[in-house]
Amino acid sequence: MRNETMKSVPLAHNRKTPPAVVAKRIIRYIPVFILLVFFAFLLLAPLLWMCLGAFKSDPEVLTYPPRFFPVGNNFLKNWENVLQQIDFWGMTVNTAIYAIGTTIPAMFVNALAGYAFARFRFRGKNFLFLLFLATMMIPFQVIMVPLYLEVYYIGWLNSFWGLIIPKIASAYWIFLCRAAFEGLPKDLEDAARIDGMNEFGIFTRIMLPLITPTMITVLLLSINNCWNDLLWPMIVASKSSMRTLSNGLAIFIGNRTDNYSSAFTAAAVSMIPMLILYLFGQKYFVAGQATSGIKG
Amino acid sequence: MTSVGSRRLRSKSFERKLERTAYLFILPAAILLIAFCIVPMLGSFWVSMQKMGVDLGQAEFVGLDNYTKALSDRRFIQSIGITLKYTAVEVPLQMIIGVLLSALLAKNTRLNKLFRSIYFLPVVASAVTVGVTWQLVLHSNIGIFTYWLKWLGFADVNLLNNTSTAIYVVVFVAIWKTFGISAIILVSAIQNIPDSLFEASALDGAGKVRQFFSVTLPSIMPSFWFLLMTRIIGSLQMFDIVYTMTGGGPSRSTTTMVVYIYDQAFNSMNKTGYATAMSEFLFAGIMLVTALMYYIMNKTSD
Repeated sequence: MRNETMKSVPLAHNRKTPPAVVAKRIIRYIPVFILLVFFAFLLLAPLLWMCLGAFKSDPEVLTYPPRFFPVGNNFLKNWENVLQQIDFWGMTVNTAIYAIGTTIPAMFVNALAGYAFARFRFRGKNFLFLLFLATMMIPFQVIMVPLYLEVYYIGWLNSFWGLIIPKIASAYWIFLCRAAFEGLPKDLEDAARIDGMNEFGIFTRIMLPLITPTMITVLLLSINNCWNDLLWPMIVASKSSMRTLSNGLAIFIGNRTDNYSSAFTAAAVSMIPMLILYLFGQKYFVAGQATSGIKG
Repeated sequence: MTSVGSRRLRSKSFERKLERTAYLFILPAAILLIAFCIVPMLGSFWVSMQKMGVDLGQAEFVGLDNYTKALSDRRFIQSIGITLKYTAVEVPLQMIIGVLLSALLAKNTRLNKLFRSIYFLPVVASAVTVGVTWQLVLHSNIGIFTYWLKWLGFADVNLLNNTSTAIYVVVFVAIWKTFGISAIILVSAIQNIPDSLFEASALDGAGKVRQFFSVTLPSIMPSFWFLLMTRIIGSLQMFDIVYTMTGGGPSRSTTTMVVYIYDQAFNSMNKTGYATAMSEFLFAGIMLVTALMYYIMNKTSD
């Protein structure tokens, strides 16, 4: 918390800011405010227009000049159209299995490794650490073809195994968990050891609950990453019954650019789960991005 | 000496037991990372020297042929050019907007928090949603932005179907989707600057703008360089917004490297060997950027 008064009038003895200074500050803020509002408008207008498009009928979408707000409510009819053309629920289930099936093991596997790096001394620690760090520098786009061949030869093409297993371990999550475990007080586990608790129990029952905020960050970001992932599902789950929402909608909308209101509706509805996640967990999303930068 | 003494309190067998536990805890992650990240990376060099589809049995060793073929493939060279052009426009704009907005939004007022959560919103929207939305927003007949731009006096806007403007639309949409992340990373960097630095410069009579250049900007340089690096690397790998919004067109004008590689490996004839050779050029480029940025970061932090 910075003290605004102190900064602007550094040597003033009275606490109250003179009204003239306040007025000047407000006037100075106006251009800033206009700029911020302009950016907010640029950001929200397209999203809002797309969501409102879900309520418009096809002729309404095609009228010129285009309208921003819908006249009536055509949502249910559009929704019926979407369900007739694509297996929306099947795709949603696939996406959910991909997202949750990846995230739950990911939380466990990566936290376990992060914990070992943070709280244990062992031979080869530096080597393993560097090895893990190196995997962060390998861009997915570079290994996607050999990875596809590998999954193909294991026999996991068009299966949830192929979709999920290669995506579980992530050096990014390991380092996030490691940092959190390193922040815990020293010798915390010794008390539990004296009580005769085994190492795995110490991890699951004492240490893991202490880094709950980090685990929530991993949970939300990982679900979000999988939900919005396009490239990997497109490569390994191309069969129509295996398609996820991202991949299925890309194909659906790519094929039928004449059916606009269905496109609006499908895109808008597919966004709802992540929007809810964002509304409840915004600070975790921000924490995840701010601590470790961007994940490609 | 005392530390050694206290360590001796733990018996050797106990230390060994802990070591075993550590290996056991790392094992699942290590297996997965080696199998699905390091093996494909090493395997990629082998694949890049084969003339092959998806069938390993029909692979034919061709040495560096795929690499020389890539260098004489006009479409591949074109895709490198497009990727570089995209990066050269996207990254500076993104950084300028990020720095500007972070400076304006750093204070934790209620209004700033609201703006921050609005700017961050596209993070949860998938590339497909974003691509579709902008495709329709800029549609030549039904697009609301097309209409507004016409109303503002820009005649005949058909930005997405024009070979000279489509790439800039992609740049715009990519920035639109991610500037919130950039701004937030820099906001948290600004918030970590000790208040005393600002107070000292205020006592010296520095104004807001002066303060920004003499205190804020130098203090956030580590985050700035890191962000710059991730932005450049991300731009070189550009795929999903292009794929969902333009599909690489019109007439290949937005076909970035990864779009072309994807197309060669998975769409046309499953030329996996050739596609992998091209992706090694991308890998080399990314490694070069990483090395360069680490060099700069080390130099500036001294």
